[in-house]
Amino acid sequence: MVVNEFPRLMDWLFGTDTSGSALFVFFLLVLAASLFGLFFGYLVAAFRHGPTEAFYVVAKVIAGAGPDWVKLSPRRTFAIAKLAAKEAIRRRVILIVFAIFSLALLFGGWFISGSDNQERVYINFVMFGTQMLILMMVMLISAFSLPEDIKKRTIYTITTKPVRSSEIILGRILGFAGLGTGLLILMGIISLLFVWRGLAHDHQVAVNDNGEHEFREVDRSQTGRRASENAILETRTTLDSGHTHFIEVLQDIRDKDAPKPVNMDSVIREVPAGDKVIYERLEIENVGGHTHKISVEVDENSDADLAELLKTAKFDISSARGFFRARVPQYAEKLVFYDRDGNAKARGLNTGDAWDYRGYITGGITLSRAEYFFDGIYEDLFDSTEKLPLELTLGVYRSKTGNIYQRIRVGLQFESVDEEGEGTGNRFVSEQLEFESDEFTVQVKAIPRTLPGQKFSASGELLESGNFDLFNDFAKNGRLKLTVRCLDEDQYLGMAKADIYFRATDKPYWWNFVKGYIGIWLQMVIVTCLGVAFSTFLSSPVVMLAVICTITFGFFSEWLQKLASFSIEGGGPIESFVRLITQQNVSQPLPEGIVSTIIKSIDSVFINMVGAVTQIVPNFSRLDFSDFLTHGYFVDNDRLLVAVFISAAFCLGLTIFGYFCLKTRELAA
Amino acid sequence: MNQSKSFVRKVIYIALVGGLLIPLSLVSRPATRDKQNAIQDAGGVLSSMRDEYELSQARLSEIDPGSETMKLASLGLRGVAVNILWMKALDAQEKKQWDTFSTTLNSLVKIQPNFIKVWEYQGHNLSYNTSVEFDDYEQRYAWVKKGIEFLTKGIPYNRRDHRIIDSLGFFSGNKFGNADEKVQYRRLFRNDTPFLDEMSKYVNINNVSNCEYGPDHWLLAYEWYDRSERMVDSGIDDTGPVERRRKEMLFYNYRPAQLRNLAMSLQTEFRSDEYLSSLWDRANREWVEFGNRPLSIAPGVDVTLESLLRSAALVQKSRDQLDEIVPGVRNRLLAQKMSALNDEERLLLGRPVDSLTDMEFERLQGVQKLLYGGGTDVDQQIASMAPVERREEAEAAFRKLMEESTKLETASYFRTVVNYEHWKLQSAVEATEKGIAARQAEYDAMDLRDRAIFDEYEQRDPITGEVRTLPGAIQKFDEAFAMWSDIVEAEPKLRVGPMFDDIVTTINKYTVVRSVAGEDWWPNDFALQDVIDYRSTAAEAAEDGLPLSSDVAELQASENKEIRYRMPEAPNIEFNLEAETESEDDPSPADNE
Repeated sequence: MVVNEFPRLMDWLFGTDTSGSALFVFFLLVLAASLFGLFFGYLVAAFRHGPTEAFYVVAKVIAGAGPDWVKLSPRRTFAIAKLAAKEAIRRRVILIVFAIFSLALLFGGWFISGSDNQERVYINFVMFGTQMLILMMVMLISAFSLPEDIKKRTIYTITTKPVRSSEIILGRILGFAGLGTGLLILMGIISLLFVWRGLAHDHQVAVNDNGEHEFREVDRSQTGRRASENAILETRTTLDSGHTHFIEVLQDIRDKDAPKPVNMDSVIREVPAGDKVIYERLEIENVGGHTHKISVEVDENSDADLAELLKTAKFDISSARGFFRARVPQYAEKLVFYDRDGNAKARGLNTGDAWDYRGYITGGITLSRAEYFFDGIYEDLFDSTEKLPLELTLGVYRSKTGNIYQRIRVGLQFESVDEEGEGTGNRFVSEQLEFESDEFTVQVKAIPRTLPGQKFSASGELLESGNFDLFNDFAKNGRLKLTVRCLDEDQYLGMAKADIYFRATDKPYWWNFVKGYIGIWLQMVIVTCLGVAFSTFLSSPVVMLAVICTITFGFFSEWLQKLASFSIEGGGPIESFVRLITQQNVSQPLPEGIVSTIIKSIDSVFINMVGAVTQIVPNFSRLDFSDFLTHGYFVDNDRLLVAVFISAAFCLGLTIFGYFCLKTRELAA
Repeated sequence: MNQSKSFVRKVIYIALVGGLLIPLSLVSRPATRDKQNAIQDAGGVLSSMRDEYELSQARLSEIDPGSETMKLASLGLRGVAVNILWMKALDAQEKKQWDTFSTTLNSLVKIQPNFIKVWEYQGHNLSYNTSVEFDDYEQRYAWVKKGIEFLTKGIPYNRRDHRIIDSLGFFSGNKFGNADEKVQYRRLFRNDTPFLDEMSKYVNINNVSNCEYGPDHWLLAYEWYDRSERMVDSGIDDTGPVERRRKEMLFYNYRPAQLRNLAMSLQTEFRSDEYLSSLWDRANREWVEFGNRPLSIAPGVDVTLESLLRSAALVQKSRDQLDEIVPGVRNRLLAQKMSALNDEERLLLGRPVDSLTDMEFERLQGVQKLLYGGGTDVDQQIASMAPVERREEAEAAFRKLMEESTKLETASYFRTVVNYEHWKLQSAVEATEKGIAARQAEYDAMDLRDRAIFDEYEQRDPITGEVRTLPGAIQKFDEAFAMWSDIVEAEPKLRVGPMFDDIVTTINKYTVVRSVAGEDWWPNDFALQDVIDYRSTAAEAAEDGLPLSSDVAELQASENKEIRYRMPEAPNIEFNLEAETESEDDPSPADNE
């Protein structure tokens, strides 16, 4: 999964050496908005009442605002919220939205079946659908409420009562948001059931025309297929849910007194061989993040060879396993790249990709490497401390074809890291672990707790060679350095900070699912606030347009920021239009001349306007956690809290803005 | 007053809407049929065009709910939706999010399923561009298949267009059979039962599996091209007119070409036998069948690739007739131009037409153009000089000459484009006993080379104790080259062209084996020396980088081991045995396809 930001709440709020403080920016914005509000309010009042009277009007509004909020009655606010919700239900938008949602789930299977990674597609489908529908719903109910009341003058029945403007605004926001929350909970529960049901499937072992299970010998020179190292026979499952799995017969050789395989039901037979036992057992290949449990029953008295024995064996394959994970990644604090001469670089090499998320290191006998610095690697983070799951998603670039049969090889080396400035402790360096990479796949490497390596004194003297403990020696202070090397000459390995992490104990999936929906909920609340705030001074269709524009800007803010920085080919609206009608390629510059200069000048005004707008609209991608759910990662608390703070800031601002707008309108009336 | 104004405005709007509905209903009016299902009224323009291009699903069972829902959900903004999805797909591709990329493409094509170029472009994107992004060849294989499966989804929407089927043929053949990983791909394909099951929905899979060495993707390609040909021939596909002339000729060349591709792949993987002989024979028969297929070059005028000699004879006959009507003029007109020709060109004019290769024939055409101006200028001049009483006869002869000359030129050009004669000859000789024996010797030589048995060795029979001397790779190579020498002596046209280019590659491997075995890298009495000499002087001179007869004596006489070991200016010779056996290394970035 692509992760560009690793927020820490406190750092984000109060700032660090390298990043500013969000709190400080917030206060600056509040100050700027207040001053602008005062100035704009004065202008409006001056237009209506003359320049002198305007002072009194503005002062009155500001003076009244304090008591309006301080003396706000929760009972009345709640009553208005209830009223707003009732009114919204009467509009039947909720019913329509729910009907569309139900239809989408009923027929969703038509669009989303057939992918190798069904879980991703399913989660993406329900989250995107829910997000769009819920935002549309709150937008509609909030946009039509106040303007309709004002138009039909029913607002006077409320304003003539002892109700404060703050209560009207807050009441409506709470009412609509409450209604949306109820619907969101319902949609979330149904979605979870839909995904759970959609992913449930099982398979049978495939049979040939004679109705026999045909296991063939594992021979890559014949089949071309990469099999497990100790596989001797293989076959396939039936095609179900758009995929099949390979089933391998493995020769699992263990000491007689060693623990038996976990799933003894999958063992076909046990063959004693001296002081060892060969467990001939079945294993099902992982496809798109899931596998199945297999058990087998064979005629124990038969002395037929294995393939013959399996022909008539009875198999039982369980339903899918491995879906619904909430992995907790322990990311590195820092990633440093080194070039082939051993010079530290902030970024790795670029091998020609337009997308420079991953930095690449050179392979072969060079000093090129990447170093990950972890902090907080303690025993209590992990389920089992005997083997630590290290997960890697590495990019590969081949500068030559090389050995087609072999994937590019990776070398991993662990090293202890002293406390900063200390530099007195012994240093532990592990031997290099080597394996083949598997591009675009999350590779899971079980790192044994005890690693062979060397112990050096602070002065660099070799003290001891042997096996050392990962927690007590390498990461005794919680810090650990992981060096990654590419072992193949002239080939390249690419990685980003989020590509390698230790996988701590998984969190409950339901809780992660809830967090994913909290993200949607936060977006929903912002849209509600937007709708209510805009509806205090705009008519319903205009409110809808304004909210849609804000949502669009919010969802595409990254792209729009790129546009605003003039880094997207094709120019602004006028240039694009000219290119469209003249069928000009975007990469070809416009011919120099006065016309081109005029076009670019007008465009730059538009583009700068877009740039300015992107600065003030909420960036919805920061509130969107669907990627975490689709890739099976736990949404960390810091990330969630940052999203909550961002949403709270926007909601607060929009509520106050709506309040003053309504107040001005009341005065005008 | 205001209310009445508003009411009038509404009435006008409704009237306008109603008015617009009339032309809309006229152009969209469906066809009406009688009880015998005969068309009574063809319906509106839009509706008949929809029927003609099969853009609408007429029967309920043909409606794809997914596609229709997507179209409806885009609320008439299909173009906008497609653009957004296209951008999303590009973004996912750039960020290497392959699942998103693939699912976005599936949504995209559901919105505009009749846009053939989208299917072709994105199918290619999946099979060619996305597959090479993966490091593991098994993953690459999976993505090539995804491109093929993606294209198959376009078939039901475009039943009257053969272009998707053609792309399927191209991907199935070319991508699996000519990629760097072709050895691995072909092995995976043979054992890929689920994929074959999937393909069985579209082609006769028994024909694909009907190969002695297991199912083969070249046969799958053959089946796709066969289906495409049947579509065009039966008139299901009426895009024919745009496919005329050169395109038509290429179109019909694809199907038979798959058989020789199959034979060529198999003979590098297995030891040639009767099966391969029969395969080459079939490839030859189908290739000749293609050569006899009439190809339209103008309304009512057909040409076949096999008619070249007949047309040449008819041109000559008409010329003779003209010369008989107006004797002596031609020689006078040509005398001057002939002096401008060089020896080789004069030689070409003197050779019998059937002894020329397609390339030589095309050159001859050039020489004749030089002599006769725009091809028939001289003939026209001669015809115009005919005596009055025989003018009509001369003009008829000239017209015939013109007609046959055009056919000749086109047939000659077509034959060169598809290398017709070469493939016909090669498939014929490969099917012979000698051809099979030469391939067997070559296969054995490569096998011995891979087992590092370079030279003759002795083997004792464990039972009889008899000691036998068995050939090593060098002896087997020599045996193969001797047979190739006989073959090209019988068919001199094969001295140039792809077959001998491959033999040159084998010769290079042979020289490496010799030098590794401690022999002089180039033998004194090389069986194919004459051919190598010929190739350096032939019309389509090949740069083999191999020593000519003139170099050999010097090479052998040299005391300098380095010179004897490494021929100067020999760009194709690779001495690194390890690199040879491991893979065909490509010095350029591997992902550039």
